[in-house]
Amino acid sequence: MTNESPQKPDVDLIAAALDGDQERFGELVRRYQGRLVNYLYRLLRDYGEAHDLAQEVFLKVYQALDRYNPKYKFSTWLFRVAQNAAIDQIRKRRLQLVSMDRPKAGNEDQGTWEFPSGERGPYGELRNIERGVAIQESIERLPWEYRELIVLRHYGELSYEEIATLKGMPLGTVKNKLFRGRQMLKERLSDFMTD
Amino acid sequence: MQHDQDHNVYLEWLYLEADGGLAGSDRALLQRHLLSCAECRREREQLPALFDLLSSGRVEVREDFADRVMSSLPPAGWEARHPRTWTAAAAVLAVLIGLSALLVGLSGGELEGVGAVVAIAELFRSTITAGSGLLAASWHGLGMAIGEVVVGSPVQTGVFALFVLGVNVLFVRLLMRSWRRPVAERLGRDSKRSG
Repeated sequence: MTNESPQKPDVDLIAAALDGDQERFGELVRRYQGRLVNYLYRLLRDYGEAHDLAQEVFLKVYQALDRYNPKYKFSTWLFRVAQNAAIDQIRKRRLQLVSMDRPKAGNEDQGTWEFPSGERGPYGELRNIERGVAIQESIERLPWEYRELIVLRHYGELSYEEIATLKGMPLGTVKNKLFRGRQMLKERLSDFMTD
Repeated sequence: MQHDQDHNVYLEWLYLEADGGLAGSDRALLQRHLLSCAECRREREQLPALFDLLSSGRVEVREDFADRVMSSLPPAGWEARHPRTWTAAAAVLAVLIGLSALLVGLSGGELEGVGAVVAIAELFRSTITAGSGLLAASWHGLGMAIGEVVVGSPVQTGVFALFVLGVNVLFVRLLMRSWRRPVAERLGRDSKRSG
């Protein structure tokens, strides 16, 4: 049991921000930053770029805050803006003919893998790195229609209903695509599931 | 054939169950199926490892991320678009009254006191009538201004053009106020309704 007071609903924070209390928007940023950065990181594969784009997304959302429609969840809106921003970014990259096969050369800032595994020492670290690379590559090899749903669910932490709203798909289709995507991942990651 | 179909449905349900998305009634059916399906039992045992593996691939967000977002927030555009006070509208009205007084003065008439006020009011009324809508008022005003170039002095024409423009600005601001109730108010109401 914790002493934390229950979280204020997103819509209350938005209303307060629109009334001039900017710090409430800061609460929204802190509430969603982990999910947003992870979502963008999985799509862009660049830790720094994911942060920069997440920042841009929050700025865009802030500027359009008065157009937020409370009929939909804030998270759905936020991730829709993020999804469009990520697609634009990927298009820009293609135009710049940057290879999509490997992370950018010289980019040392690739973030920290959070593995709960108790493995220590050089072997453990190597195994962690291999596992991280395997997860990333397995996700990237998924067809886009599965990949984006997997990333939205596992890294954006959106519910099935939120994903259905965001993608404009029936709930059953979302569940089915996630199932197929996960089956493919299970097959590809089987070596790492026995650790 | 029917068995395969059912099996695939149950397989999909296993993934939903592992993700906490399976309804209670379906869970009972799944349990019954598991009693007779060794393949599904094996699959079920492996799924927690897959979900753990996927969630282990999250990256940490930079510590200063939220502060960076908050320090880069631009002045809110919506604040200017949806003013919460009447100050701007009152200022525009004051300027218009000044301009109309100037117009009455420039007309060379001998109006004073109540007569001047009536003339100013008449000027407003005729502008409103002539406009009969924002665009119509603009075009009509423009036409009148062009007519004035032919018959009036350039100063008079310029002041009249400013007057027409000012009336339109005032209209726009007032219409925006009445059409779009303050967003914070709207969100507050909606959140109370849904809460």
